[in-house]
Amino acid sequence: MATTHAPATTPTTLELDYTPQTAPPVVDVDGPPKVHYLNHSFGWLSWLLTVDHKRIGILYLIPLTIFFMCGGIAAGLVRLNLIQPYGAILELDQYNKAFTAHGTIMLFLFLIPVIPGVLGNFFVPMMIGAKDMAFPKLNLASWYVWMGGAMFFIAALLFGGLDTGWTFYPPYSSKYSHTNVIWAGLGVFITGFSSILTGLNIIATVHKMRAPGMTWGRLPLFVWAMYATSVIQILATPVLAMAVCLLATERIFGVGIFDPSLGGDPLLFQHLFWYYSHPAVYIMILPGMGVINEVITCFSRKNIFGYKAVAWSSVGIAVVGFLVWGHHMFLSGQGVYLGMVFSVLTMLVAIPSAVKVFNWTATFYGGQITFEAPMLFTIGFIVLFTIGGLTGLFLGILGTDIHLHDTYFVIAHFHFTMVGGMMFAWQAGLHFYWPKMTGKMYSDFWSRLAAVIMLVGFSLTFLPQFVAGYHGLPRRYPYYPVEFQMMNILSTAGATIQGFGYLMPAVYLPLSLFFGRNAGANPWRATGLEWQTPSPPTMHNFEELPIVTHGPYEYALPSKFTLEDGHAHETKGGNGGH
Amino acid sequence: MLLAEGLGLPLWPERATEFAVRYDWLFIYILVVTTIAGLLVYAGLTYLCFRYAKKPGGTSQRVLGSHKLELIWTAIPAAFFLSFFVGSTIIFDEVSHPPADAPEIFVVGKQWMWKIQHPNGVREINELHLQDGVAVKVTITSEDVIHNFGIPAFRNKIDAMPGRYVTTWYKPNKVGTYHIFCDQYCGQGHSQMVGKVHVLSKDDYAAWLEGHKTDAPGTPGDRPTDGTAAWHGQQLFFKLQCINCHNNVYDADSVNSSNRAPNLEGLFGSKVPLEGGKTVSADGAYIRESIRNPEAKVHAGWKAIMPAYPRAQVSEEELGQLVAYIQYLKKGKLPKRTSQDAAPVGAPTAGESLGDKVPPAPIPAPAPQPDDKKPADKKPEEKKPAPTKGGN
Repeated sequence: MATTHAPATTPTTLELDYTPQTAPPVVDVDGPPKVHYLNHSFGWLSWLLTVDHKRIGILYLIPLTIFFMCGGIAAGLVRLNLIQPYGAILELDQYNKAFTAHGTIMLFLFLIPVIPGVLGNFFVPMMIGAKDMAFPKLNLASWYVWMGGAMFFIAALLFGGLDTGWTFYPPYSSKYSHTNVIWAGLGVFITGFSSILTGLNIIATVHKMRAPGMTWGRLPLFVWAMYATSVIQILATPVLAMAVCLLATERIFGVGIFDPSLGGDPLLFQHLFWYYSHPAVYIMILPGMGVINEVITCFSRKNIFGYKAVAWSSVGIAVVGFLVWGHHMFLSGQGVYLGMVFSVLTMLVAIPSAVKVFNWTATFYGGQITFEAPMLFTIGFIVLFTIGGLTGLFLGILGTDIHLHDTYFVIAHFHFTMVGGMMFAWQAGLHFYWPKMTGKMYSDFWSRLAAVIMLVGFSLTFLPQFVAGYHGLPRRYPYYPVEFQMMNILSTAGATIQGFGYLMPAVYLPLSLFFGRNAGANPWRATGLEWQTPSPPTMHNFEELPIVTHGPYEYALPSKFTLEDGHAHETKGGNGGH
Repeated sequence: MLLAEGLGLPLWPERATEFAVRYDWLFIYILVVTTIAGLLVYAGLTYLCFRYAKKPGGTSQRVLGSHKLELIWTAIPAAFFLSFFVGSTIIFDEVSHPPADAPEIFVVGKQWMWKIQHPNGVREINELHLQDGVAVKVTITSEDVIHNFGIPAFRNKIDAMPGRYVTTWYKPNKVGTYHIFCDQYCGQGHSQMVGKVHVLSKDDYAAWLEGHKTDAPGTPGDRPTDGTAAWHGQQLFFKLQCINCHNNVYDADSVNSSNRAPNLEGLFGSKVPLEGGKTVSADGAYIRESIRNPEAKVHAGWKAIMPAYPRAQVSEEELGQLVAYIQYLKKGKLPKRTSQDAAPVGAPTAGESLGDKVPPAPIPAPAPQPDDKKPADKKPEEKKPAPTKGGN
């Protein structure tokens, strides 16, 4: 195979023993440093007023975990209610509020901020060899804005609830719903600012804070993905803010914007909403894809297959992702020709996603693969995201969408990409970086078991929904025809298993803080800059300014980061053997 | 799908139109391609995981990528995507274009029921009776929020948007009873906004019609059967004072004349000449538009003086009934105007309107006007200058 990507300074003699990425070499410290970012100061204020990107990452982690549990409980209520065709536990209104709470919390308060907030904050500066983000105080402000918006949102859900679905379609949301649309919208509006600020910060950081030698072609792919995500956040989020403002204007003042009885056009809202919310699904999935690159290379001891293809596919997804919003509106009467254009563009955006999957798979080729928990989550990601992506074709294609639109087929597809994709990527990232963030190693057995349980539970939950959807079962139905009952029972059973799967890390990860063994600086023998510091990292990340001499993922070259200490690796050379 | 059979669902969802069969073939084609693609990825993944699992002392190879492979696995999916797109466009085109001669069924969604009106005046709620083998055009709108009228067995589904009239069509080819679902979330009763389609054989359909009042074409002067859509429309026609202008009193010297607007008898299905020389076919869509927004298309020769009737005044359901009545209004069926009510707000009195535009008599009545019968004019708006006009 020909090489598509090589470090700018590929040594001509590959037998050279050198340290990937950094010079001077950093000692693989066993045991945490005496003073690190977690213990250099104590007290509430030292956390709430911190400008350390690592502490801010932890500040995101805790509420995000709580929000995930809230959203999960709402999902549990929905699934439990659906085991009977006329509702097992909830009234109609309660069901509508439960599925809306599930959707809105998971999307706005979990999936969108989770990887940028936690891993992005924590690791983007470390990966590029910086001491902090470009704007540390803005970073903290961003967290406060986000928490403020989230509190608004949670309060709106707790005191009265919201029953519009996460899509807020008018005129239902602007005129007919009697729930807290305004307050929830305000919450979304405010958290949007946090999203914009975080994106701004990451873009500035990537542009200005890279260590010497960290060229664009040597950026870890997680950083590329975060960069693409940030661009979307900055460009798309303001449109959501506009849509929410207009909705509030109509609801409060009765100005006809979306309601046709006032002279408005309900399609206008759908255009504005999806102009944000379709790119938003890439805001959710791209950081996950970034994490997958880091994990998959580490555990197969390989360069990523096609660095440039993977990096540019992130950018391609970000750009084309802005042009496909109309595929949510094929049946809304937007026009046949418009629908055709959006359908073609949707095919176009599917290609980079497919390229990524192929490249990940090819990365396994010629590797030395081990199957620790992060790798199991990553394989789960590839398995599930493949299904999620392929079923997306049925929905992005004009003709097949007619029948599948707004059925459980859509639900299943969306969860395969967002849970099977993003949630598994988040678990992979969390398990991959947990030793770095805390300095402790969690249980190998329980974490692998959790990965398998989540995969089984997830599949059992959502595979039957494809079948139910093709048979026509519409989404958001608390009551449904009795012939769909068995499918729903299967789904609920799967959701139960899945729930146990999610509870497991919530137990063994915190326990590892007290009982886990010390991880050491680089438990996975990874090559990234973030692994060249002690675990947990010291306050300013690097004692000396790192100097980067090679691309990321040079696992195949002999170095002190090979899996067995003292064993001399042979290299097959730059052309990849076979 | 085998799984499905054991679990309460049929092996394959029922198909009750030819369109559904064609749809399924497209679906199956994509399903086969994507399944093969997915299995190839899984097979590769599984093989590589076992083949390259770590071995003691093993080394990994430094493979950086391959332009050739990247090109292959970009081009092949792209080619398949293109084929999906072509197939799907054909399907979507088919569902978007009803046969020209299909009778129009009018469906109005409202929280939380479907109100359905047949062209023969029969009205149903949450039930739709169709005759096997007969194509029908379906025009759908909503009274309040966005709904979606979906019939899985027909593989058909379309949004019911307030303020818009969207059209689709079915030609059922299998007798049976199938689900109607509302697929767009519309509030508390969303999941109860369901119904049944009954596809009946010709005889059964006739028998079903027997039990319902229909607007049989009658003799001049009779009235719509009580309770039909046209009958409701006639009530509205008087209540909204449409009759004040759209009547059959043609007396140039009287303020009671219909000088202000064309007689609507025989309008439905005729060709209406518009200002500017175009013509438009007087179908349901044209009539609905002319009531909601009379200035959109003005009958040549008449002034655009008709006031608009927004949904606050005429609901979608009432609009459908008005259309049914105008469709019923064959030549000679319009009753005599019985009252001297003032014209609707916004309509000038005859005298004024005549005065400001035309001098008393001159206009030679070029216009279109109902000569006697046929190409009637459109119903709303217009007004025609003074004298003249023909029609009875």
